[in-house]
Amino acid sequence: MEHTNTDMHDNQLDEPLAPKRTRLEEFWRLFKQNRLAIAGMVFFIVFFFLAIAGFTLTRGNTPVLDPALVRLQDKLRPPLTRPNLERLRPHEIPKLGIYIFGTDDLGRDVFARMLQGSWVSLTVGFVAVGISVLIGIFLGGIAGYYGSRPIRIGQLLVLAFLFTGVVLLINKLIWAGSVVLIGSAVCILISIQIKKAASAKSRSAAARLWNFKTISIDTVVMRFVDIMLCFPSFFLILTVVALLPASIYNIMIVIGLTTWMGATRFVRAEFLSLREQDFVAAARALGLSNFRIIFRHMIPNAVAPVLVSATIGIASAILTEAGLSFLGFGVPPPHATWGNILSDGKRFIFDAPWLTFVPGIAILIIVLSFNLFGEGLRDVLNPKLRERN
Amino acid sequence: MNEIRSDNGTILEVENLKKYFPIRRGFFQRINSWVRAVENVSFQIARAKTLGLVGESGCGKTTVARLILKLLAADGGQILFNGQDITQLDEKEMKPLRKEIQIIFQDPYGSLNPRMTVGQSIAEGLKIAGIHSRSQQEQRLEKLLKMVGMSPASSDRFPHEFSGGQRQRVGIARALSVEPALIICDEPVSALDVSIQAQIINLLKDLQRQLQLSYLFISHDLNVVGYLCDMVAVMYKGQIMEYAPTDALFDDPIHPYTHLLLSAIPDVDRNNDTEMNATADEPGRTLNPADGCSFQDRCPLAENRCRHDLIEFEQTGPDHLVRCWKTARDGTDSFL
Repeated sequence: MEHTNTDMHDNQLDEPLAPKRTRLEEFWRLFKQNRLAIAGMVFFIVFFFLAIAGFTLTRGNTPVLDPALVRLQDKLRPPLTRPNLERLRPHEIPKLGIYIFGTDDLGRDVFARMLQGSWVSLTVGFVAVGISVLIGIFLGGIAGYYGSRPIRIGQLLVLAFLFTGVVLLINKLIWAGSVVLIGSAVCILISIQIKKAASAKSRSAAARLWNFKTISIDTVVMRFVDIMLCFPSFFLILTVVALLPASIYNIMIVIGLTTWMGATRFVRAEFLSLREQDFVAAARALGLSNFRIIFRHMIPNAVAPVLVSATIGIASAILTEAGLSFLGFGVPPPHATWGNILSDGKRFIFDAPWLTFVPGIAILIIVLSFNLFGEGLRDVLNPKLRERN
Repeated sequence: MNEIRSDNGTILEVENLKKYFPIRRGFFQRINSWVRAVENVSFQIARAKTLGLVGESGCGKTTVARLILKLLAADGGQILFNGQDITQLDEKEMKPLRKEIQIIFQDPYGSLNPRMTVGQSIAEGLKIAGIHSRSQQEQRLEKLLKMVGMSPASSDRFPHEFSGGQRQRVGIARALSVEPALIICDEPVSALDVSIQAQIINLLKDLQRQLQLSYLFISHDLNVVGYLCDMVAVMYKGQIMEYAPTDALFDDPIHPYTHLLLSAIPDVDRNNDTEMNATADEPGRTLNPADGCSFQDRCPLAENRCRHDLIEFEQTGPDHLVRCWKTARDGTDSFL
């Protein structure tokens, strides 16, 4: 092997390497040219820390800033007024010594309520979008990678049995449910037997019927996306929320379950183009498993557009949550959210305009900054759009 | 397996390989007609030798490459690797053979995962080759990078930090990481500029000498093919038109299409009066073999028989096959 190396030496390139610049540095260099996106990002970071601060300051039995403390002596005080120290009992005196955003009709500190609400908005935004992105990557990945494969009649039977079995079990029909589930297990066994028994050509007619190709996976997933997109999503959410017990977790899950369609389409489109790329072909030629190809080669290259749509999705999730709370379907009342502060304030819009303006402007700023940040991300992560500008 | 290798000098044998792609039309996406991308392609590659596969864009060269790698399933014919038929193997049975056949791509920009460092890309192959310990991987990685003429320091760089030629070297190192016996070079130099082309071709040649590699070298550049290959197969519209040792093909080309290709080589010494031959092609229409020679529309010698008969190979010399019935004519220059 020694002589090999010397032999190779005349082939050695002395081409100097370019200065090392990571993708992150490259990203930042382009991103900081977009001032609006920078502003959006700054607001995003401020909001993030405010929400965390809000969560820690307003929780527990004796919080630093109590959003639920009623001070009827101090009701409807305008912003930046000092509390009426003579009439308040010692534990009612706000720790800050000033009502930054005033008080509402029950004398509750709007600043504390806004802080509590910001945590709700943050978690709803992130968890709902997280759910929708996970569903989107899963379904979009399946449709993009395995999409051309047909679903066979045997598999359709398994799915049908599985579905009815689970539905029966949910409706507490244990016996019927178990029988149907056993049926689906039998179907799986039959499929395995057929696969083992004979090669593709020498199969019996029954086996061929069992393996008869129906529609493709891609058709199933993408038509389901089309169906979901047909529903006006806000009214779908309203209906579902009306049926479920009101809680912040249900809101997150429902928003997540009704907004995954965009992410699915993005991921599918990315996967369709990535699977034709040479590096994926090279990975297959090396003999890597599908699992590794999907998780190491395709998903890292497919997340950029999803990230962009997720950022904008957070804004719309926050807006949806505020809308639900405003209509009274959101987080139940003792807990403050931006939507129900706004809703409570609308009765006093002429006497105490700050009750509507403070949460309204907060929603405006956050939604706007998320959108600007998302658009900035999109411009940087999508080289084609970048060239056009 | 070693026995087969020693008593049989052929590493890859392709017999009557076929691949048809359906053209779907209409509301129900009915199959309307077929593109015969690869039609009865047969060739052999000897151990440590290079077969050149030349032809214009869209003639099915890359499809042949993908069929051999089993990235596409063949519609007919056989691919024998070391005497073993791999056409019908499923993914599981194919796995141990995967590392024997590797590929180098045309586009050095698309062939490396932009999110993985060079080291990570190559290490994937090392894991397949059964090198799992970190230190051994690093040793081997360093050796591979040196072998392809890159500095070992480049292993923690990302592909976007390299030039096209450097990326192509990384692609070669990745292919070598599993110690293959056969490498399919799918136009490995056509995306590079000329000085880099020479470096990569010399690298491929050196590697062949040291590692006893066999190459299937796909190209449309006859200069490169003439320099690198031992045998050449000329492909047109999915069929092999002429199959000959390189010297025979360049000195004594017989098929009119080979003449056309050779006349298209830019050459400073020669008076360039061959423009008339480079007629524009009308691609897409791939004929049924019963409809005669697929080159009939562009062939200056086309006669009635070319439009109706099935054209078979004629043997004109040792290892020299031509898919043209007019080989018996005297003097090959008559139609140029």
